[in-house]
Amino acid sequence: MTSLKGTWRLVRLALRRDRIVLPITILLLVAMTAGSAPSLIAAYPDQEAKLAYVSSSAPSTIGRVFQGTVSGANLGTIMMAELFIFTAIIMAIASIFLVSRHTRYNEETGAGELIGSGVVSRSAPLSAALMVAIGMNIVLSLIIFGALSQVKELNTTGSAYFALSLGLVGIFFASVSAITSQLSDYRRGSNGLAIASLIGFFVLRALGDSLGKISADGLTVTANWLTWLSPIGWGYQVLPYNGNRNLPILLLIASTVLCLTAAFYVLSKRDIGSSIFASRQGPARAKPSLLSARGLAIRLQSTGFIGWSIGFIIFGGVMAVMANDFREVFEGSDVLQEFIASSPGNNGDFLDIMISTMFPLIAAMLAGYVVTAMAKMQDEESSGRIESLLGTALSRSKWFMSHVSLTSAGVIVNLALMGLAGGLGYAFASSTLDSRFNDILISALVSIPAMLLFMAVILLAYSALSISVKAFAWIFYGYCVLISSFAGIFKWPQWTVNFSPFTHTPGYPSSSFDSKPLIVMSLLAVTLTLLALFIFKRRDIAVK
Amino acid sequence: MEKTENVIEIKNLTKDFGKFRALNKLNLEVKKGEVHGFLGPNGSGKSTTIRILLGLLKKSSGDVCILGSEPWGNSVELHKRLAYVPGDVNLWSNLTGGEAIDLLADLRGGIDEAKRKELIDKFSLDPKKKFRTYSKGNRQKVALIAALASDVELYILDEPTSGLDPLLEVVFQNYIKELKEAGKTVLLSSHILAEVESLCDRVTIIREGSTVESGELSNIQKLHRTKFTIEAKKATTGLSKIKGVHNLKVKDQTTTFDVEPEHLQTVMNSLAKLELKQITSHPPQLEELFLQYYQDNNSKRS
Repeated sequence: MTSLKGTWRLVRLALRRDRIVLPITILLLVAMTAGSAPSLIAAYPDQEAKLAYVSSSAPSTIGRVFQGTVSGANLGTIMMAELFIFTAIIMAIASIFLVSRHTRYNEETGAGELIGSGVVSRSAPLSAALMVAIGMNIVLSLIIFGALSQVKELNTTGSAYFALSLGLVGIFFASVSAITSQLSDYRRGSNGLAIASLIGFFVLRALGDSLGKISADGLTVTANWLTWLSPIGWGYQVLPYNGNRNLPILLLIASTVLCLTAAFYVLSKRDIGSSIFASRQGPARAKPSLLSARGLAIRLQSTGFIGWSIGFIIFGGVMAVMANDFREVFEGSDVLQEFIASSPGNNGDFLDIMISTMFPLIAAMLAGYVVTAMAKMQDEESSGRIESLLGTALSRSKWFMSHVSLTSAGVIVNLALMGLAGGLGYAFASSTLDSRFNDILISALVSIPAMLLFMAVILLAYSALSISVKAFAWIFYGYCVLISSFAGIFKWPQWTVNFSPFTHTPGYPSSSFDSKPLIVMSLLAVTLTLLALFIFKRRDIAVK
Repeated sequence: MEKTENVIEIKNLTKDFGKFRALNKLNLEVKKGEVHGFLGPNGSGKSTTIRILLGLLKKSSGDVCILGSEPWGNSVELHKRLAYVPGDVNLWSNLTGGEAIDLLADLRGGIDEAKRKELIDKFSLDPKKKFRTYSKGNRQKVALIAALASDVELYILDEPTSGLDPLLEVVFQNYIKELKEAGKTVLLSSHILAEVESLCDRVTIIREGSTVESGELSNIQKLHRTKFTIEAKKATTGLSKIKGVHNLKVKDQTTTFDVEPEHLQTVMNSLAKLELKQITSHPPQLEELFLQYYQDNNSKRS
């Protein structure tokens, strides 16, 4: 078949280029889903607790925005409520980025032209990118299914539907990215359009779920028709563990095929390197605010910052709403109360424990913001742009500190946003505004030193290893997330835990405020950052 | 280092990247007010030398002096007095050309507004386009305009015109001549030898990290093989046996060959016996000079 000519080679090229990103994405998603099953089992040990969870979640219109339409009281449906939408969104984002990276970005850099001049068919690059994206989603679904099928309490058919619908949502958004990478002439524009569609579909589903009707027994919510306009909604409406419906699966497959047909059609009609939406022109003169190292850093980092901020806000808000739901469950469950009372080192308040445990874990996950900001900084050097900058009267220290100070500020602002979103989310969900608002805000802010220390370690690696820091940063990030998610559950040795800065954040507010680790981590972060700067000033700039 | 009129003075500069020796006792002198051609095959160490001059790389050994000081550690003060165009212009994809020009010139210490306008006009650059949409030539224009719009003492240009069309090449050459008249110094690394011949007072040729030739172009040419084209009544093939004769080619009536300067007399004596009908000779073009080095280089490698 000539139309696939070269596809397999390009698939191998893509796999080679993504040999670090792909395993980390898969690890993170498996950790998020299958990895949380043990903690859910612990949290809802008996049917009473499960009923309590569902009967408190189902009526919560705000809760439904993030948890979807709860339906039925078993471990699987609770897992759906807690995990499905988040996991689907992250799988969608990973799929979107993957497809644009191997299609539009290649055309942007000119590599696409070179590939196109070889013995490859016109559609091969897109076919290859889609095959890798679909492959990633299939592998993820299989691993998630494999892991969940080991959990005795989960119905195997339900787990199959759970994994399948997650994978199909991911594949759907890969096909959306296939379209947007035809529409925009550069990767970030393409990603922006695809993410905008993701947000749009999220909002439709959120509205549809919020406006849903609750059944007489209070255990099932039927979504409003708006949910049925959203592929994320379809994924949820498969209702694994309670219904296992096939219609939404067919809708997902049909819409994916439709998107793919459209993408390949546009591809066959357009020139290589061209797009449907032409690049807009920009200003002929720079604004005064751009004319400094900091101004440039802000310009380069702002889009990424805003994206992550949305993540921090959503995670913070959801966490607090969930914690409030949990609390209501907890108050109805004797077993849980005994469990909490027997755990050492806490004040016995379930909401406090939830917040204290979950916020440092979320902070570790959102440390991806630091990784991407540091990657931007390193890109300046590896792309050679730094040569033009440092060829002017800009000093190395100023350049270095422009990115470091901006990212530090970003860390503080993002954690503050997470805390505020958490405080407000809690206030809305519980309809009370009390000292808990402050507690939640502080429990987010206590992660600042760990976050800055995490950044300092990456900076040091960047200065000392000069160029290969991206791989290090992502692996270190994966390690920290892994430790925060599992070390406690599987009782990993203490020394493995100590390497992650996030494990040293004190569990506020469940324990009393302990400033010592915070001071130590802050001092360490400052020292390592200065050391990194010292090395950076004295090493060769890595040039091509 | 003693005080000198030289804007750039490099002696025995060595740079190692791990085990790889990129520069090996390289010498380079650039006098104040001259346009100096910096030549060498790809990978010979031109850009490495320039990056050491800018303080981006640290020398392993040797003496480097630029505008009166050692570049490593003094780059900020130095860079206020020079403008640099890198060989591979890569700027921010989401900034427009105009924004990049303003940013780079401002970081260097300011921009001559009238000059900026004139340069954008003369080089016919659309400053409103995003950098990612520019072709190679347009990317170079952005860096060139940012450099030329700055009023500094020294301009370091690393292959600045490899993507420009012949019309813009003329524009570029006129600006360099303007700089020279204003008493500015230019270090020009280039593969466009016609450009070097028309602009440069002196050249330095390097190979595998070492200087192989340096001086005024006319002097260098004197040191090298003269090209002869002759027509003779007698057979000319015997010439190839004479010491100092290279590249002998016979085509129809015409014979061409190169002669090393120290063997000119012997060759002339032999030529006299051939009953010449016609003879022309000319000094080597820069391109031929360059090829001589380059071929030596390749034969040494193999």
